[in-house]
Amino acid sequence: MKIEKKTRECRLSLYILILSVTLLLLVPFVVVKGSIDTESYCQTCFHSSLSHLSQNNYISPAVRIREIIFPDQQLEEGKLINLTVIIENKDDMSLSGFRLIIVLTEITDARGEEPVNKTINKSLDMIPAVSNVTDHISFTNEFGEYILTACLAYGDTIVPKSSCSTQVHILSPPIGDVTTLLFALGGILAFILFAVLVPGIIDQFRFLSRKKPLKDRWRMIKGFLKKGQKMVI
Amino acid sequence: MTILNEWKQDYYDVWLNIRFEFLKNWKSKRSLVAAGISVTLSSLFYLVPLLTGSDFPTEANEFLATSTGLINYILLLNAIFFGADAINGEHHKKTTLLIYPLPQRRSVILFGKFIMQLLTSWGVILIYYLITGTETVLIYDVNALTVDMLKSILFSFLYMGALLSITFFLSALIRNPAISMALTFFFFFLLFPTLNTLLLMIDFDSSWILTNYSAFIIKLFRFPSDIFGPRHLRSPDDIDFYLGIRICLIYTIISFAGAWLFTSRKEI
Repeated sequence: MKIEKKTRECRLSLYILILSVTLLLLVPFVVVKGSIDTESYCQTCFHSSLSHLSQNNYISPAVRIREIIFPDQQLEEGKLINLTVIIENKDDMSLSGFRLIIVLTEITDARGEEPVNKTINKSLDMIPAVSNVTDHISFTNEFGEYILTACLAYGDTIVPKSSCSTQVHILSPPIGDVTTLLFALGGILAFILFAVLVPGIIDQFRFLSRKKPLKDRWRMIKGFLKKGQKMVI
Repeated sequence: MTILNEWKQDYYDVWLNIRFEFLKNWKSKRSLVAAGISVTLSSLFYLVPLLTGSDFPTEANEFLATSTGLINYILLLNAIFFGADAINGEHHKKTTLLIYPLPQRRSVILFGKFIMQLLTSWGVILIYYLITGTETVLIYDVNALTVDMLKSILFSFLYMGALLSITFFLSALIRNPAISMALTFFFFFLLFPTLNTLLLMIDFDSSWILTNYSAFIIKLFRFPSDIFGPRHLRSPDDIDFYLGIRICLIYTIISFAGAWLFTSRKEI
């Protein structure tokens, strides 16, 4: 009986040990996997752009995109768009293996085409514990009005409440040039000023350059004064 | 009289007409009214948000693109104010009879009139842009005024030339100033936009329609916003800037030549 009791105690201790080891091994996974959060935290368009990522099992480390900064005053099509993302880690442990995802969703049909959605994916270095990390991204995009959303992902899972959105206007490349416009305006004025010369030339050719004698002109005026008569000079 | 003397006389007559038209505009207070409308409309975009406490657009280009949205109406008003009765008004008021005691070529009167009315219209446009520019500097920064603004000013000058030329043509063609004024309004507000919409509906080339290119006045600010109104009323998106310049020049020259022809042959 004593042996059986001891065996039972040993088994129990073994179970507890196995369970403890398992729990200890699961800790990092638990930290990363986190609790299930079904709350929709971003827009429909954003979800559709990230449809390849799992949205069922969200993780919840205290890391998020704090701010999106554009160092350049104007963003222009054809030129590199520089973006600075500030990532905040409130956890007291360093995190690694995260990816930064930038999604551009067009909100107007200013270009008159199908809306453009663009996703940029970048692997991040280790994020130190309780710190703010700055990351720089450069990309090019077509002109338009966009919602730019930055979020963090671990593997195929988006980190919940890590996203930050801002509205972006990407200007079209410069249209036309000043020189052509100045030439066109000069052309109009030159056309009118040169046109002044034309009647004189026509008159010379038709031998009509001389003004009509005063006698003829008076006759014309008298003719005009007669009722209903119309004159052409 | 040699041809050189004749040309000299013609240029002098043009200058005389330019000065006369300037005085006429001044006395009739047309230019003053046009300038007043320009000042009022351009101030709205600054004063209304300021008085209501609402925010200005975050980007200067958006503010400029929105503010210049009304310049199209200023251009059309200028065309009606300064061109609709330019030729037939003289016949209607019998002031054409002055060329009997003071002989001048009719073409010279037309040239003088056109140059002065074009300069006055440009002046009114410049007032609008000056106020908008000042507002932009006050709200944002002096750096917000880029070369895009200069391009927009120059393009609106060019477009104004085409509008005024067509208006002069209608004025030379039609005897009654009231009818020519109404027709000018009809042409630019109804006929061209309706024709454009119909052509867009049947997928027919509408690049020759002048009013399409007025969109460049705003588009030159390159702001990608839906500020051109409902999609079906907008000009085609693939319009070319340089084609726009050519179309404006063609309309200006052809309409002006037409006005010249009809003015010279008009019976008194």
